[in-house]
Formats: sequence, structure tokens, C-alpha cells
Amino acid sequence: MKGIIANCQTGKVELIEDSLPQLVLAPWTEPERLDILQANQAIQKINEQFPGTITASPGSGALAGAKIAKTSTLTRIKSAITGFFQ
Amino acid sequence: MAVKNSFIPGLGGSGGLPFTNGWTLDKLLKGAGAGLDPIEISGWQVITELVVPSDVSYVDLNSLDGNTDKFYLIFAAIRNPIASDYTLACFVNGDYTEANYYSQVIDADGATLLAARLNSPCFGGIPASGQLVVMAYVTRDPAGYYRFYTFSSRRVGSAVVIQNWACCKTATIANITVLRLLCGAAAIGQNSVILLCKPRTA
Repeated sequence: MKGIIANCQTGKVELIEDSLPQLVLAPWTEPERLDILQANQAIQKINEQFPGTITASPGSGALAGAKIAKTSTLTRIKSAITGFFQ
Repeated sequence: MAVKNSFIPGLGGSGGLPFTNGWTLDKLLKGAGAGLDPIEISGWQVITELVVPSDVSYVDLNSLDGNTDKFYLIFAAIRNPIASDYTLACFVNGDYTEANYYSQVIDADGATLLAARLNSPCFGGIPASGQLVVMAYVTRDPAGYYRFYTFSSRRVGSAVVIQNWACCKTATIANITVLRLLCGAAAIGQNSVILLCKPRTA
């Protein structure tokens, strides 16, 4: 992993390449963000119309591991909607 | 004549307790008075000015002493050379476990507002082949928690987006000694600029 170490006392800047594994961070992608936003809005609208239908919030941890969270969120929405109309 | 809240050397202010680092309330210049040369200028000083020499995954800002400096200001203009979006995160003191931090975001994109909380020290979203410009303060709060708050802008022209992140660590820390700005790839591109500032000390 390539990085820079800046010593804020001495002003020395060092470009290094270490053997540390690349840390996989929670993704931030525009399409994922929009999907989650839409999921948030859908849940909000459902809860406005039918309070208590969905108790889980997609906001918490939704972007962390976004694909799993998104799938989970959409599944919850689908289940809620299906459950309501059945 | 005393001028309240004046920053004119020699005119002084309304008095009050001295700052711990020796500055005088309402004075821009320390040690200055009528006919005297100032010995220090108050305000903020840049302690690291970095123009990234090649594409990297992280930047370590080390040899910090948050207990002495109290607050840091970071200005970052990041250019992403990769055609994918990436998260930029800001870890403290070598703790690179995302789950040890929480961040709350407000994101304004046109008429669309997003609010979310992530289990990660998110500092900004770097758009694919685009730019992220951030100003942030970083501190250890009086209870010992690492915190930062960002004010950022990304994308260009009519697509410009506002994004603010508030981050807090899940456990207290003893000091701030090193900050790491980290991406999941070498998305901190060549010619990105990072400034780190601290309050001037006597």
C-alpha cells in the first residue's frame, strides 16, 4: 500500500510503499447512495402512511457493506409491502 | 480609549483572563503595545503543507500533540485519478478498525437531502475521476473522545454537492498523536493538496 508520512514537527514528508494489506472501507458510491436514499424515502413514506409498518431503519449501517444492507433493506420493504397488501 | 473586541494592537480590549498559551484577549499581536514591536502573531499556523507527489492510498499526519494543540484544522483538496467512487476516512492513533468509529452525514444534492449514520470514520466521498474539497476540525473532546466535523464539496458545476460528516470514536483516547487519511485504493491523486493547521502557541 502506497502512502505518505508527514512529520508535523519537522516538516519531513516521506513517500513509502509498505506491505500492509489494503484496508477495505465502507463503500461510497453515488449509485449506492441513491439506492439507499430511495430506500429511506420509501420506508419513510410507508411509515407515514402506515405507522409502525417498518421498524428497522436503513440508515443505520446501510452504507457499511452497502450491497448487503441494501438487499436487506429492499427485502424488508418488499416484505412490508407484500404483507400489507396480502 | 478601550475598544471592546478590537484587534488593533495597543488599543487592548475589555480585559479578562489570559489564554493558557499567553495570548492577550482581543489582541492580534502578542507583546505589542504603543511603540512596541510584536513578538508573536496569534491565530493559526500551517504545520503541514503537502502536495501529494504521486497517487497514494493514505496520508499519515504524525508527531501531533492534541492535548497541547487542542484543535486541528485540515484543508484537503483531493483529486481522484480512478474512475470509481471511494470513501476517504480519517483514523486516529493507528486504530484502523472502522467499527470503532461512527459518522453521521448530511448530504445535499440539488433538492435531495440524505442523512445516514455509518460505523466508520468517514471524512468524505471522493467521486470517480473527480474532486473532493474538505475543511474539517479535529479534536479530542473534554471527555476524551476523538471527534471531527467536515464541511465538504464534491463534483463540479451544476452537479456540485454539499456533504457534512460528524465523527466520534466509540472509546476515549489519551491524546491525538497521528491522523491517517485513508482510501480503499490509491485515490488520493498526485497534486492533491492537504494543509494541517494548529493554533499558534507562545
